[in-house]
Parts: sequence; C-alpha cells; structure tokens
Amino acid sequence: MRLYFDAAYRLALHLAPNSRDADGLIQAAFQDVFRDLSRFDLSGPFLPWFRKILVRRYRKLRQKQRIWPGLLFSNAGWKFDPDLFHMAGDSPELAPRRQEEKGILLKALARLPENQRDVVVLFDLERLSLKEIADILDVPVGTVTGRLHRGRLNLLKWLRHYFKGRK
Amino acid sequence: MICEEVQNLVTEYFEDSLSLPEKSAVEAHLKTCPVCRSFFDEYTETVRQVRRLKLAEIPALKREFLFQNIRKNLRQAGPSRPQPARKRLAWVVVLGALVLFSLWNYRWRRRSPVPGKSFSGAAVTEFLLEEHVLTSGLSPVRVPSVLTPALTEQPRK
Repeated sequence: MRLYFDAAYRLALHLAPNSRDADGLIQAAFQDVFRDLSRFDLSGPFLPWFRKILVRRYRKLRQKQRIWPGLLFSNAGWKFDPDLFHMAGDSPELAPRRQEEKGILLKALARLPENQRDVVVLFDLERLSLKEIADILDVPVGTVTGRLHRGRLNLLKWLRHYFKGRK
Repeated sequence: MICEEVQNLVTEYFEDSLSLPEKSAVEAHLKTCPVCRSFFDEYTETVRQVRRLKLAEIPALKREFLFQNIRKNLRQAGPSRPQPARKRLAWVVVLGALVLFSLWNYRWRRRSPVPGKSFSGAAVTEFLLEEHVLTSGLSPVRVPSVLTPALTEQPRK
C-alpha cells in the first residue's frame, strides 16, 4: 500500500486540490480499493486500476457535492491551494514573480470546466498518457484529445496577454 | 490547408500524433501564415507555463498520519457490507410496491359509493358485484337477484 500511496495522493491532490479534501478523497478511495480487491485482475498492473477507483470515488463525491454543497468537499469553492504547488526552475531572486505567475496559472486552471480541467491536470501536470487518461475516465481517446484541446485553448485565451507582457 | 483547420489540429500537432501527410501540411502552412505561426507560438508557451507547475513534496509526517488513518478506518470497517446495487434494487422494489398499493387504494376509494366511509361486509359485497357486472359486460336483466333492487330497476318511461 505504501508503494502506491504517493502516486495516489498526488492524483488526489490534483483532483481535489486543497489538502483537506484530498485527504478525505484518498481515505475513501483506499476503502473502496480494499472492498473491491477481489475484482482486481492479478495479471494486470495495480496502479491504473487504483487510479480508476480514485477517479470514480472523486466523481461520486462531486455528484453529491452538487446536491448538498459543502457536505463532502469544503465550501472553499473550486480553487487550487497555492501552497501545494511550486514552479519548476524557481530561484530565490525570482520568487515574488514566480508566486504571482503560479497564482495566475492556478486561477486559470480552476476556471476551466470540470471535464477539461481533469484532462489538462492529468496530462500536463500528472504526465499520464492519453491512453491512460482515457482508461481512467472511461472515455475514448478522441474524447480525451478533444477535451485537452479545448482546455488548452481556454487557457491560451485567458493567459496570452499576461505571458506576452512578461517576455 | 486553411487557418481554421490548422488551429483545430494544433494539439495533435503539438503532441506529434498526426499522420505524416497531415503533419507536413500543417508545417507547410505554419511556414507561410504569420497569424497561425503566432498562434502556435502562444499555444506552445501556454503549455510550457502550465507544465512548470509542480506539486510540492508530501511531508513525511503527513504521509504517515494519513497512512495510519487509512489503516484504522479499514480495521473499523469490518466485513464488507451488501453490494450497493442489491440495496438499491431492494429499495426500488419496496418503493414500487408502496406506490402500487397507494394507487390501488386511491382507485378503490374513488370507485366506492360512499368515499371516506367505512363499509359493512354487505356494502363491500355489493360493490364487488357491481364491479363484476361492469367489467364482465352482463346486461342488467341477467344480474343475479342477490343484488340490490337499485341495480335491477328498469328506467321509467
């Protein structure tokens, strides 16, 4: 269990990106895993199956959240916790600028529609392949590509002027 | 290739998942169209910036705390509960039976001669026999004499 904990917790943080909600999600997902362990095909890899369960649990919780807001996920609204992220290539001199860029990027990501955000986060942040994401979300690869495309175009629309001015 | 087609293919081109002819066509267009070239440069920069976001390391103490919590929850959970699908099915059956009973009860009360009143055995028998007459298509002449006079009365001329 320890072997997969880090990978699972990272995924939970990407999906429910404040640590309180991610903690709840990962604990619920582990319970699901142990309950459904008899259904696991021993000939296949464990991590993709585990990821599927995590995403399924996340979707169930989001569904309940829509009916009873604040019941399971905190009422913080959909925003990423900046303390959980850092920008690659940080150096001490550039720290204030990086903080600002990080904040802008996280706000833009949080603004995306849920299905686009999930794919952008899994592909660009978690660095899973299109096939793996399609398998986890249980949709065709073409659908994943389409959502990735629309998500990135939305981000481009919101961020183009900010990063152009920064050059 | 026109600009709109190129912009629709930009993700697949960026991820190098286009076929060779399509890739060549996109590259040829990007060489000659400054608008699409600028669009592609902005797209590349956006993806590069997003990919710079990294999750911070999970503190060891937090990891251990979560891990212990998970173990505790699993121990407390005990043997697995009935499959959720079966429970849902059971609820559907129970609710369906309640709805059917309510409908039947409502229909029975509407058809009864004195709604809302409790009935004697004779009144119930009379009602059931009336139902039988109506549903079986018997003409009033053939109605058995056990029925009340009201059912066998001939209309006045």
